[in-house]
Amino acid sequence: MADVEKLTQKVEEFPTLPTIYTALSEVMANPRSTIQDAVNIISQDQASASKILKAANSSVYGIRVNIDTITQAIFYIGFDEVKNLVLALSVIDIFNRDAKNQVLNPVGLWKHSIAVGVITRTLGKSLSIRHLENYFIAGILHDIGKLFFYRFMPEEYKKVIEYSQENSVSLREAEKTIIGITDTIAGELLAQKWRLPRNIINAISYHYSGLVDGKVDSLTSCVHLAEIISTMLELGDSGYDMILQPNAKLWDELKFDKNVFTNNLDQIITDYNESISLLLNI
Amino acid sequence: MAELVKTKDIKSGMVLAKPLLNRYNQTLLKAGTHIEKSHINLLKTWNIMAITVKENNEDEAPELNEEILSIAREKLAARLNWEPRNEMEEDLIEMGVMNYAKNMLGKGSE
Repeated sequence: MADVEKLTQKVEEFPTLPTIYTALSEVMANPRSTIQDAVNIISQDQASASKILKAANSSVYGIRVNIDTITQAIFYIGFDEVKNLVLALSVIDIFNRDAKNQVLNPVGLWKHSIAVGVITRTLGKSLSIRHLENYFIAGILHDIGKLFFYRFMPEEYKKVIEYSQENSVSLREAEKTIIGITDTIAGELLAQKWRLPRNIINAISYHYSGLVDGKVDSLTSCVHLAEIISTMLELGDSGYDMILQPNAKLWDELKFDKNVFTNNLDQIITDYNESISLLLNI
Repeated sequence: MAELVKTKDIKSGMVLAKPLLNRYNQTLLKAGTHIEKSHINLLKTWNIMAITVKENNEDEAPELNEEILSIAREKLAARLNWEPRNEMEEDLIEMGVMNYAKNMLGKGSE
């Protein structure tokens, strides 16, 4: 049985985010910084730089001009998006080191997470949300608690998954029963350690209900819906197969267009395939 | 499904799959426009390197017929234990049905 203290300890020992991300965050927090400062930081990390260019040129952002430089990438897709891409790549890298030797292979869960990222972003776009930068990344990171469990408690988590399937209960219920702690707690601790923005932490903590403090929050609610949709479309593997019903409160507050789901199906599939190829090298 | 075609590879007769937007999000050409050589100058002016066109067999693609849809509906129902309460939830379920149906026709995702 895990307990919060042991968990906190393990989170403490977990790697910090790479310097490229913290350096970028500092640059962006400093009003005197210029695009060139950001470009310089990114250019020092060849792997990140080439991925950012690939991402900027992919269908996900829908930019139709050829993007050849990091400066252009920042210009066309925005500072925050670039920073979030670096964050996504960094987190995936941290968790995927040694993936083949792990008892529970995280690739299926990453694919699911990326699908949730893509769909969260698509839903945000359809709601004409102004500041979309965090939508993609919040979706990608919503299950980092589970990824943490996969890494540090694979035998126990295997039992959680089995229990959930055999008893037809949600993973959350199974977690409470078998290990006494939910993945959202682990995810929150990790997100706090990494000093991620509050709205991403909320998405991690509250995507199950979709409500923050009992109220509909656009970002968290979109992640909640995206989770349901990605399970329904069988994109990746979240460890749970049943399609849950969305929280009823959402429909009153989020003004989606009629047929928003059927209309975006093709785009979601396309963006999903591009994103997993980009982020997971598949 | 649609495919991305580089401007230099454009042939007359290709049909735009999505509206063509410039960098200010203004519509230059509507979806469904039949591309002609004369459009190429427009693309060059806006420095557009590639456009999305419908694949050749898209218009003759088999319709998702009732039989396939009904199998898809059953498949989805096996994983659902709730009834839709409103139009949005109906559309959501329909999305799942369409996804299964398209996969069965070999047009889907993984």
